[in-house]
Amino acid sequence: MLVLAWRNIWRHRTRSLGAAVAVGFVVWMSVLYFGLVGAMRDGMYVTLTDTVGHVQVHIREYRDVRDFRQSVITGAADVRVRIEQTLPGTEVAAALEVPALLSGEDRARGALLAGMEQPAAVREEFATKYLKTGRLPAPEDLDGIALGTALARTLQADVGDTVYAFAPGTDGTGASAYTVVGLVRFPEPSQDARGAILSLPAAQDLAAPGAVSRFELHLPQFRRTLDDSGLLPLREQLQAALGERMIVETWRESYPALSDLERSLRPLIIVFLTIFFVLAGLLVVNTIYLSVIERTREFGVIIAMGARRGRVTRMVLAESLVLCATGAAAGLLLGLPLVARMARGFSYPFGWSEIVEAYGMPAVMYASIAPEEIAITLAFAIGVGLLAALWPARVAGRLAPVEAMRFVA
Amino acid sequence: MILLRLAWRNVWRHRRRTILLVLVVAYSAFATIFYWGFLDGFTASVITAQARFVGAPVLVTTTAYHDDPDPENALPDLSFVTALQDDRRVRAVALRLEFPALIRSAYTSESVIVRGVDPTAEAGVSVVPSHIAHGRWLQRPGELVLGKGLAARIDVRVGERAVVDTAGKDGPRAAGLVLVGLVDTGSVAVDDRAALVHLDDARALTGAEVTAVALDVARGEEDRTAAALRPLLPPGIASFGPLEMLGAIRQDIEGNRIGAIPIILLFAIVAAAAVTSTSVVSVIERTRELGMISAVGLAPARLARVVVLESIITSLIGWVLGLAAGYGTLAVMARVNVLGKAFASYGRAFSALPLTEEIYAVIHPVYALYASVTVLIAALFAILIPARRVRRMAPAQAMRME
Amino acid sequence: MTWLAVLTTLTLAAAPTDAHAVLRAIEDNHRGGTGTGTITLTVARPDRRTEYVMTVWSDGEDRGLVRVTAPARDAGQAFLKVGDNLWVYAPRLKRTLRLPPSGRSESFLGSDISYSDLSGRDVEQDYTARITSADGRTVVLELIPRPGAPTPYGRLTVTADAQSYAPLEWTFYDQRGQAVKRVTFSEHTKVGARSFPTRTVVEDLLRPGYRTTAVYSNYRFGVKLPEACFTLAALERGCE
Repeated sequence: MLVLAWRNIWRHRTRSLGAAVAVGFVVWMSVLYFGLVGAMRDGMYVTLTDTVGHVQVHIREYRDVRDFRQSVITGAADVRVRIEQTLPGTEVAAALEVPALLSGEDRARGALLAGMEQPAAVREEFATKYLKTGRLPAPEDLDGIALGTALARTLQADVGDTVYAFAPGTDGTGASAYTVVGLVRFPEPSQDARGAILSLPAAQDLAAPGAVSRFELHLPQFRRTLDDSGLLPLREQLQAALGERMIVETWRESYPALSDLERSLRPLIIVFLTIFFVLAGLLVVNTIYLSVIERTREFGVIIAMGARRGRVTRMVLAESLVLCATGAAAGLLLGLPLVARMARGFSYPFGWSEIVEAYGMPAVMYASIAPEEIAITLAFAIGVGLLAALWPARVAGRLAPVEAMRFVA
Repeated sequence: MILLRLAWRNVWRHRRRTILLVLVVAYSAFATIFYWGFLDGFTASVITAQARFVGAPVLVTTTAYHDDPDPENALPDLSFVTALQDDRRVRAVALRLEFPALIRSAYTSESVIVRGVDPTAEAGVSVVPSHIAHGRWLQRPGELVLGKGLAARIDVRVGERAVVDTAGKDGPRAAGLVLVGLVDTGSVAVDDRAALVHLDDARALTGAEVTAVALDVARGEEDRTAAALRPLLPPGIASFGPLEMLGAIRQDIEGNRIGAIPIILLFAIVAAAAVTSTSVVSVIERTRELGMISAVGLAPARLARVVVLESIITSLIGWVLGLAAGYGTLAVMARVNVLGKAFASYGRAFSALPLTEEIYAVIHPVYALYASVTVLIAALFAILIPARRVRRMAPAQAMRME
Repeated sequence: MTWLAVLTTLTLAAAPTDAHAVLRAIEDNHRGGTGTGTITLTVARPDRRTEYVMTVWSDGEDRGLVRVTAPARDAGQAFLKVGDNLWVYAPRLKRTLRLPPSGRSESFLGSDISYSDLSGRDVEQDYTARITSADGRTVVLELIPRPGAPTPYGRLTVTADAQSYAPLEWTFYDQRGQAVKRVTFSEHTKVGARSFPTRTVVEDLLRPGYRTTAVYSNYRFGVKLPEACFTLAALERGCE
């Protein structure tokens, strides 16, 4: 029967070609679309995890501790070594957040000084995104500080000016003067009004030698949302290695709001996919449907020649199936290599990448498609094609031969 | 005219085909309109949130205060307010005194920007007074209203006292104020940070008078009105609309619109393919019929015109139906808050983005134009390809074809 | 002299009732009058202890100067209080900072006392007092905030010796009736007619193991201190 169907299809070459091309086009487009959406989703994932790390290490109860000295991980160098031994290949970033009084020439404010030590790429990413003027303090810089724009305004300090930090009662020097080297526009207003960045050694020197508030672990093998659940066993492993004094959290646990945001992308993607698939479905439906309707007369002839009705229905369906499958296969053959090529990294042409970057996406993105997404695409295209054929096939099967032969589409 | 009638009759004769084509065109138009209405709705809700929840529709301050919001840069005198009150574009006027302070409970404390307001006038320029979830809005001095998130963080309940510490003109000042109400607007920017006190308390604490005058103006006209009111103001004082108050977020919002274009284009291409395929298939199917008409004496060029007319008529019907469906859906979504719930997590994750839980679609006539562009691209393919086919057709050959 | 027993540093108005008279007597004991001395401040946390030694000058009213002498790392840091204003001096920077409101929640030398506690206010101005119990040994006052008083507490109980009115304990309750902070006084010494507590313990009742102890030594009361002790110059160079 499939052979018959195959032959029938080639009898109506133009028409069949049209229908197969329609299915193929939809499959091709869908694969590409999935790949692009996957790239956006993973791009977002990479941006988020680049900012906060995949896994964070804090002191246990860090959310409730208000006392600065109780809130830090002391002996950070040893902890870092243990992290690197447990999870080799991990890039470890560290931050020490010091509540301090920051003073300009005349005005002073309560501020949160963040001593940062980040992988170079993460640092640059941060600088391009948030630095308004000047630069960030260099990794070992004991003198430079970058202020939140609103904080700089209230302190009436600009690049080149000196600001003074007071943190009496800490284990460090408790006071230090810094030169403003840059202004950072933090996206969060309260952070912009309170936040300042200095190097980790500078913050440790000021308030807590050898201590950090948290470690951020960047695991280079986790670049895709789909792999995210793989973080859980690693977290367990690290927790066991670090002991009870510290708590290991995945980025989702540390930043539930960001996790919610990442999750909320899924319904959005589904809405986009639905809008797209409905259109693609219409494209397949009208092509297959018209090509089947058109042949009503032919079916009438077949029935008149004594074929059983069920057989006619099945024949039409088989034809449709072969047609859709051929088109889908062609679409996949053309689409998958393209996605595979884009999975090695691509950026948008014509300066679009800058806009995409402003959106919070990396400039170079990696297309990504999951096997189930290919399956969904195939099932959708073939399913819609079959459904489109089913109704005319039933009509054809039920036709009185004479009527059918007279039928003009 | 005869051709038109012929085409019209053809459209109705091939009902199934027509319905399919209409459906495809209508859907494309619908999706385009829906998309823009949604996107603009998102932007508008950010501006609304800024204008009615977080800031003010129009804010008049000294330019120094705009750059450095400190009570030091308060308005030197208020004589210009009378002129504003008399302006017909200004619907309500409210005086505000904002100052940085520390808010303290028995357990903890937090740095906040406190807004001193005239309780009655404030209701004219902001919706915050009408979004009190627990307790009530401010009535007299000695009272405090907090965003519910802020109140929860420092752990103060309605009826309890919290302390506001600030720097007065001559030394530190503090006041114990009773929490009378919690603000719940759904906008994180407000619920997590708002601290409102009576203007008299604010004055007593800071020794300043007024840092800003908030004005209510027509919805959607905020930024234009802000610009138009500037000439009425003395030097050193300016009026600002919500877009200007948004600062960096503004670029993100505008980027949002531009970023949507590739998606719209991709959609238009698929829509074009769908419309084209429908027309092509229907012409191929009717090859014999068209051949017959041609044999009867209609020149291929005229026949092509009939086919084109058919496509235009069908597309037009589809477009109109799509417009009706699109604008109809937007009309519903402009009244019922469907989108807000879907995007609640956006506001939570980016608290810099003043989003409320309510997002309503926007309706604008220009979407019909956008939709027609999508449909036009589609229709162009759909018209040209089959018409070319018809023009090249030899009648005899066509009739022989099945 | 009670510069660190700040929570209760006072200038009392005329006491209209018996309870207020008692309160005033307690406060008078507490204040010790003008003088100078050494305070050893121990900040205890569940897993650590930090000790500071500092020299204090007080005019017995609302002015005080504190200079840290040990540990070496913090030596030279100084704090000056005049009325509600507080200045911090960092010898490393040779700079003085007037404490901004947004900095008032930071803790004083990492202890259980915040800067805002240091700008101690007039208790009688903020609270109404009532005697709740009095036997031969102790007298207990209950202090309720006046309307609008800048205090986040719902109630204070003050326990004092029934004879000398020497302060024994202050307990701070939140507005839900839960005790959140306790300050206990002991090792009283006679200063003229007064009974001054030389050991003060501040306990955070919500977080076990958080405790700050201040012990006075080498105190000299009734010394006349020059006005220059309470100036920014003295903050930087000390007051001798």
